[in-house]
Amino acid sequence: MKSSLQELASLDRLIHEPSRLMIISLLFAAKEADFLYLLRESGLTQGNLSSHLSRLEAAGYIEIEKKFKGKYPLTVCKLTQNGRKAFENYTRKMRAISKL
Amino acid sequence: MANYIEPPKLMRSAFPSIIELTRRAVNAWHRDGIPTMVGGIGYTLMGLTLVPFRTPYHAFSYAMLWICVIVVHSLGETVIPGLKARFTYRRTGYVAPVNLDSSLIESDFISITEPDFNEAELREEQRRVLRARQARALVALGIVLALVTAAGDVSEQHHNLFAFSAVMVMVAFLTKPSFYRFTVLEFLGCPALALLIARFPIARNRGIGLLLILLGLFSFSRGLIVFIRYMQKTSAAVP
Repeated sequence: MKSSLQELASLDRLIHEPSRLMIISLLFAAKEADFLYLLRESGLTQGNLSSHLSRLEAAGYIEIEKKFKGKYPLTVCKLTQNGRKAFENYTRKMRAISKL
Repeated sequence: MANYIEPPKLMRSAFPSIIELTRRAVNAWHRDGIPTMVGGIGYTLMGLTLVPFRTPYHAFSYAMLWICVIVVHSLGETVIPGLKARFTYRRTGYVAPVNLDSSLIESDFISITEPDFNEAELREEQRRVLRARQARALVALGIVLALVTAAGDVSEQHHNLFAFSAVMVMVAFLTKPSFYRFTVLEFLGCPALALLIARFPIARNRGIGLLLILLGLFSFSRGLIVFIRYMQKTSAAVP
């Protein structure tokens, strides 16, 4: 029980924040998604989403690429291998804690 | 009540699972009706390749049909994203759905999506997914073999063509779940229903061709209705 409690301190705070958890969950469930899709699904404001994405990108959890689909510019976000592993670790720890 | 702020979608739906989010991504891909419309055009074109030929099971006719399948499939890979870029992405955003089947094979995905899974259950789930894939391939093979049987007097050359078709259909189903998604009923259903028509003493190719055209037009009109509704619903979202 004690070791499980200590797991609480080792939770990834970057992912633990609800808005970022939403974003990572959405990206985990798709190959890639653009800014508008994340905006609509998460219900966050543009500024809020943008700042969370920047933090996740800085941590190396997501990749942000500006590209064109036809003539239209898209800001496409994708979970990196690190991000995927971090999310998996996070869910494992949360599961362990829930068994306390 | 006046100060009540509606919570974001994800929070409102009480923690949707990753599987649920994956389904949402898949639905987002199909909700504009464009894949259905393009599929409908494809079937119509396929049907048109069969109608002009009178001779039952004319080799050239079938070759044209399968070349058409390949061309339509390849075009679908470029035409659908092009149309989506024109109409969908700026309204409801772009999302590339994951291949759910292959993701389920990855143990990490399933252990996260289904937290109560133990190792034995996980292996059983993997086997179930594999069995489902095998069943899908067998269904495809069975229908193609049924077509060969229905032909009765087909030459060896035609058998080879059917065998090629069977392999192509199986490869398509095993490697392209998105292709499978909008063709399993229509694409496999067409030849199966066409068998009934082929049994009557009429030009068999024409029967199959006309049926493909009808189903293609049905698929197209269904996709068009979905597309019009989608455009009406999302017109306010266009920047």
